[in-house]
Amino acid sequence: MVNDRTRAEELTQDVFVRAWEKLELFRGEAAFGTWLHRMAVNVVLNAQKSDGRQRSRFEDDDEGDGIDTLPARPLAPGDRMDLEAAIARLPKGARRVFTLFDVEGYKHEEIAEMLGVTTGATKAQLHRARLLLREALNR
Amino acid sequence: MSTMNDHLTCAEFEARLAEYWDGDLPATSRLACDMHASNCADCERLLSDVASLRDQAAALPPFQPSRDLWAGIAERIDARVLPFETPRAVAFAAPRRAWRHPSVAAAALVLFTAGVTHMWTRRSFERPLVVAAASPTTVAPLAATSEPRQIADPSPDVVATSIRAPARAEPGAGTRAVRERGAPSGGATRAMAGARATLVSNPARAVGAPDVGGEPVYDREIVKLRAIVRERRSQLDPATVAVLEQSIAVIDSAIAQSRAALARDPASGFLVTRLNHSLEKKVELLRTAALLPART
Repeated sequence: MVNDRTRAEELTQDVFVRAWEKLELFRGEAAFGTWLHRMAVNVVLNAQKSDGRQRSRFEDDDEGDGIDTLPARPLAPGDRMDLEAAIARLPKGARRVFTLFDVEGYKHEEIAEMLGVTTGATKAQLHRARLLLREALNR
Repeated sequence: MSTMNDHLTCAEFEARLAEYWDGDLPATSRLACDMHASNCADCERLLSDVASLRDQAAALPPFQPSRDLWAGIAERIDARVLPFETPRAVAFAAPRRAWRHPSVAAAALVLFTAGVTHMWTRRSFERPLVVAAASPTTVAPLAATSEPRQIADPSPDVVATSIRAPARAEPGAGTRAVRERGAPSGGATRAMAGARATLVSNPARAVGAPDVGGEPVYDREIVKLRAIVRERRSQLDPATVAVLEQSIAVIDSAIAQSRAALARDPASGFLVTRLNHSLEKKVELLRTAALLPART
């Protein structure tokens, strides 16, 4: 989601601190793991918004057309490093949706709600991400 | 590569792929895609590659942090937690005069909370009941008397609407990943929540006095907390204990009123809510009392 291990570890700490602070809001209507997982996604998305505001002038999020820095190798089942590297190189919007849908297992409606977009947009991003990944891994 | 197979061109096939993968295509269109893929090697490979991609993505292992993150978390939480089971272990070296202020503040807070609860409960008993979720014609406004309130047509639907525990759809998809990755199940919390939901959704059990079938979750909690407070009584300032007992009496009065009203009107979700609220307040109060600092 954040494409940066150090940042991911910082955010992991943020998640647990936030969970501690918000524990009283957990009503047991969903499994605790689900609640925590959802909170983690929200923490990451909020952090990205905040980071984005600071860096928006220097980075492009979804401006790129695709992935162009992956090694030229055919799709090798089980080759996770290639897949992770390819996901990391996806444009931000496509990466978020692909990670939430295909990796984390959220539904389009949930992703749309978390990202504040329509389900049509998440479906389009997912489709784009899959095709880009396939293209990258088949090179 | 074929350009036209079974009424679909490759471009048309690709245009339908997103819906195909999401399962949003009508059966006939899906069949057309399948037929096209079976006759077009490129499109068949595309389907196969993406299916493999999805499988690999779903099977990606969780990232392991490169270091122990707990120290940073603990440092930021930085909460002094009073051990619940061993309150005696907490000792304060501050002189009695310094100790008294927070104690008085805590006692005042307790009294204020109990008073507000009591007043609110009493006032809500005297107010007409409006069940917004039900059809307006099914609920008769109550007279502003102390008589038991009546619902004109306590049909099962109306009752169910008014007393059902708040239901929020569990985010389904997220659970898949959570399950697969061994996230904590929160079983104990769910058990507690389940018991609480039972208490809310079953007014007969909520007012039932005997502890049968594990119904009175609050009662059990209250008994445990009562024992702790009783044990700590000698450690607390007598003035604090007096305020505490007074507050408990106020809440007990509210509980008794709710139970009496529920005995007359067992189908009232409102009364069940009020009873649960009062019980929660009592638990909260006892919990606060159990954690009060000891007198030096």
